[in-house]
Amino acid sequence: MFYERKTKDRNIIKNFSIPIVVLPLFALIWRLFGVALAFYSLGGVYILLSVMPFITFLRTRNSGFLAVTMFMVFTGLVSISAPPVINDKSDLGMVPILLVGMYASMMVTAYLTLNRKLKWRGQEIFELAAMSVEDTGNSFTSRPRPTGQISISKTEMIRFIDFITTNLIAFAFREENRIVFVLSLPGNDTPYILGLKKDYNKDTWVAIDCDGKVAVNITQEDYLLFKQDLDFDQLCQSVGNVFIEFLNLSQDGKESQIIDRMNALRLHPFS
Amino acid sequence: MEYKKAAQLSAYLSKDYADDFFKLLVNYQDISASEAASRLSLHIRTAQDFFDGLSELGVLKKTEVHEKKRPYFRYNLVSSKIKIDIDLNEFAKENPSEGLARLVREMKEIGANFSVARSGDSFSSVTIWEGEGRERQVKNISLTTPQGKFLFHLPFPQSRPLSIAEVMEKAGVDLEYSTEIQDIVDELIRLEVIEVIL
Repeated sequence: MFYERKTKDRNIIKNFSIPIVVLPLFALIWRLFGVALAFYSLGGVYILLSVMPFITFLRTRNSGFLAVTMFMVFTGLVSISAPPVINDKSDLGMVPILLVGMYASMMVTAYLTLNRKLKWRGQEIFELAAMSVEDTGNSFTSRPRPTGQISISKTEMIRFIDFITTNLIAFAFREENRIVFVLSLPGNDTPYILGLKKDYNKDTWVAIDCDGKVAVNITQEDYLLFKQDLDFDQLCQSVGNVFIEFLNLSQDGKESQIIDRMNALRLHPFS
Repeated sequence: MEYKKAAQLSAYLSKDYADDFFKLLVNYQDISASEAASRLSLHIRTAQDFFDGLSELGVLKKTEVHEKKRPYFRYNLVSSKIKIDIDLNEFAKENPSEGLARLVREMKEIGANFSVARSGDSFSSVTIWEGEGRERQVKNISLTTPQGKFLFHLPFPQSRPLSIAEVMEKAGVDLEYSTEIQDIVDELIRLEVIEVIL
């Protein structure tokens, strides 16, 4: 299916920020203090950073992040085990097993990444919402907009929350009388994952209250993600409609169609 | 009694020395400002202003007298009873449903900030920045629940405007709240947050 992209491509360099910082540091330590300390430092950094995907796994229950955690832990252990082997190649110790683990988890991570299973899907939601919006004109306002009402039971809502969170479509906040889904773009999820940020009011969100009333809030920053100044009223309505459609699919047990719809957009896995 | 007149009268009645003056006025046939001031050890200007004010409100009668010297005024009570009767209905809108047909929507690029209420389906307040530069001031309006629900459903800038009655219906606000809704609408029109489409 051909469609005109309505959101701008985002800079993918920040997805590689860890290797961009770590590798030159590794080279610098190697040059200044020798190979052993460089490998120990690299291993330490990887093991330390593996906490992040593990927390993401705990928060989202997306098992893909376990593979990322294992990859980082194995890489860290390989790095820490490497210096003795470099000095004495006859004693490999655990290194071969660790290398197998590292490569296996790396392959799994690469597969999941390329299939967008480790990517926050905020941009896909925007793209799906923008498809039906043709009118333009800068009409941005910081107000949320009520976009409709749906009938949903508590069980269905719990199932939908689990699906949305596990598949990284949005970050769910359970409030007294409503559920707020914060649409996160890749890279913006970290404060929520670490629990550092609980005020979602300055982010884009879709809220569904106990009566099934849906309200949408889009931030100016996310509105600027679109190539054109799309009619803001229609855009908010459309984001609400996308969520209502997802909910209906979830109620019918057709969650896979939601993923298929987003994958069909073929957005860059790293964008 | 008109509200303004009642307010002025109340202001005079609430003066610390008012009851002392009335004790004199009730017990004297008439009295001048200088006589009353000297009797109460007050400045003559205070007595003069008090008596003149009550004369203008019709509580005292002011009579000019000549006693072989320059003329002056003597004051006496018109009645020994003062009745304040205010009908607050004078503030009620003449026809509450008249303005409900006005087509409204949010004005473009207003720079106002709407705070979402805890319930999530209405606003609790709206913050507006008035003026420019050093004169810029923040005005924060706390909203009643019906007002908050109404503004939550107000059409966005450039979208199809709706009548106030339609927005109230969408927001589930009863018509009995129409006067308070129109009050906030009128205020936000004045502050250029809401525009009326003719």
